Amino acid sequence: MFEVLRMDWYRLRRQSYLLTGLLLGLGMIALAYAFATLLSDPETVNAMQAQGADITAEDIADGAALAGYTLQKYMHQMLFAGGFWISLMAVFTGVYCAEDYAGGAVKNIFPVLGCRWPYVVGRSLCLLLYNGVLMAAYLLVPLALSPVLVFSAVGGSWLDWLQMYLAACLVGWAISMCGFFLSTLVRREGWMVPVALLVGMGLPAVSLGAVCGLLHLPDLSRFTIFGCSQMITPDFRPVQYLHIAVVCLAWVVVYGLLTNLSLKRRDQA
Amino acid sequence: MQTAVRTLGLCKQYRGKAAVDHLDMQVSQGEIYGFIGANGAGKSTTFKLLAGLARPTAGQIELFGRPMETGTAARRVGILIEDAGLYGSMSARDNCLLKARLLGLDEETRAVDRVLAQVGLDKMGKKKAKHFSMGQRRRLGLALALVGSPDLLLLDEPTNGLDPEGIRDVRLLLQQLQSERGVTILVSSHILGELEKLATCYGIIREGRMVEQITAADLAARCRDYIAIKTSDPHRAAALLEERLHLHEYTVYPEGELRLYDAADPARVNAALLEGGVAVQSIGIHRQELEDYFLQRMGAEDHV
Repeated sequence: MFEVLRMDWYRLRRQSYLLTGLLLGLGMIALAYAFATLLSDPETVNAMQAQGADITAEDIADGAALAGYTLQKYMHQMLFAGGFWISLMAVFTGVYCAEDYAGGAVKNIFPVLGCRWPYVVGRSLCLLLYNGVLMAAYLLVPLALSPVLVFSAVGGSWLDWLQMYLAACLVGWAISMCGFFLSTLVRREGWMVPVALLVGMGLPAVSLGAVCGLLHLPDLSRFTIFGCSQMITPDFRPVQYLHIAVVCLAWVVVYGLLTNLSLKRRDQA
Repeated sequence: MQTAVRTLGLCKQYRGKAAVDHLDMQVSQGEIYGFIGANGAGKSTTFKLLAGLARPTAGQIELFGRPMETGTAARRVGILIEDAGLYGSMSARDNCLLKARLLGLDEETRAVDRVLAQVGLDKMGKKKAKHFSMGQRRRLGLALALVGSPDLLLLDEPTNGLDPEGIRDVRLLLQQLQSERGVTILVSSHILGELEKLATCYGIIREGRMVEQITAADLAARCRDYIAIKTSDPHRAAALLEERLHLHEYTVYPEGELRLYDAADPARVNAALLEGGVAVQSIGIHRQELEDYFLQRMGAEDHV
């Protein structure tokens, strides 16, 4: 099991999944920040509009609101309000896992292990580690740069930051396990990208919510991984946090079992 | 000699069609076992079953005397089946290091450098595997199989795509592994002439069933001299020789060749054919080789 973790971690580094994930995530955060900062300055907005830029009143309002944000609130909005980070995780980890099958490399893994569980558990631990490292970077780099950023304050206690980080790791782990399971079915990197994107952007969760609405049932989408990602809060709310932790861990176990079942039912080569 | 691989009634079906059909196979430790069969005969499927990459529909597999399901022999097996199974965006060294980490090897970099040198890929540097030629990919696949110094190698067409020098290098390497470390090697190849230089015993498979297992020594004893006759009408020539010289052991090949396995004087055969009005283009005595034996066992009538 730990051999699989070591192997996977080495591959994540050598194939630049780690670096690309870091650069892409931090780059998106930096780009969004730069754009919002530009819009927060009325003179810059006027100059941009004079040069023909199409800037809506909503953009200007967002820019103006930036000055009142704390760093923590901004990071929460940036990472968890939309589907950006969870989609990124789904695609990266889905493609990473699918590579085992697309190139046939799994043929060199299973004969060594002799059974499926070390592969499933080792890989799942690596996905947790990957999520943990990326999310730490996404939160720590802006924290380190906070003195030069425009926010009024850092905001939140260390506990608030920690719970946000841990909740994000759990949600990211669960969506990565979903990608792992799907990769054993799809087995092609090219197909894995759109499939992971659809899952990461919350299509199953939104569909479930709509169906529940139509049937006048309680909204079950909060029991989905995407639903949990939308429930992450900047401040620590124990009940909500517990809900996220239980649901995500349950999905990790379910996808682990499903992955094992999928590997059992199909030949590996 | 202890048994390295044993299968009993091994079956594998794909959508109800048997790819491997009650295959009984036995390979002793330290042997180089040439696995021979036509395309689709079930060689690759057998390798996958032995490697644990496919689930048998029925039957048993024992590796080093223990049922395969126990997984105890897993780390003692190195495989190269069909394509090499590489991560294209990684170098040869990184691909091998992954396998070394999976095996939990001590001194993994030294072990990897050694196998890369063994297959002649030690100078590839950071070149990504996806940019390798077919032969280089094959060599890398072989290197991956060798990482961890396995006791059993399952090699499906290891020389596929290699140049003549590469084929010779692989042969020498496998012979060295067998003689120095006693590694058991199951190897399939369509280049039977090359296999003949390497194998210590053979298994011939047809339509998923084992036709025959034979040692190289027994094969040499069974391979007989034959008279090869080139003629425009080999069927008529065969009928004529049966009638006039009572020669019954022969095979007719599609290129107009008739092979007589009965001991006979070529001059008498030639005379009989000329008398019967069959024009002979060439006639001579040849030594039967593995390829001939294989074709004969497969049923030469299929080729007529």
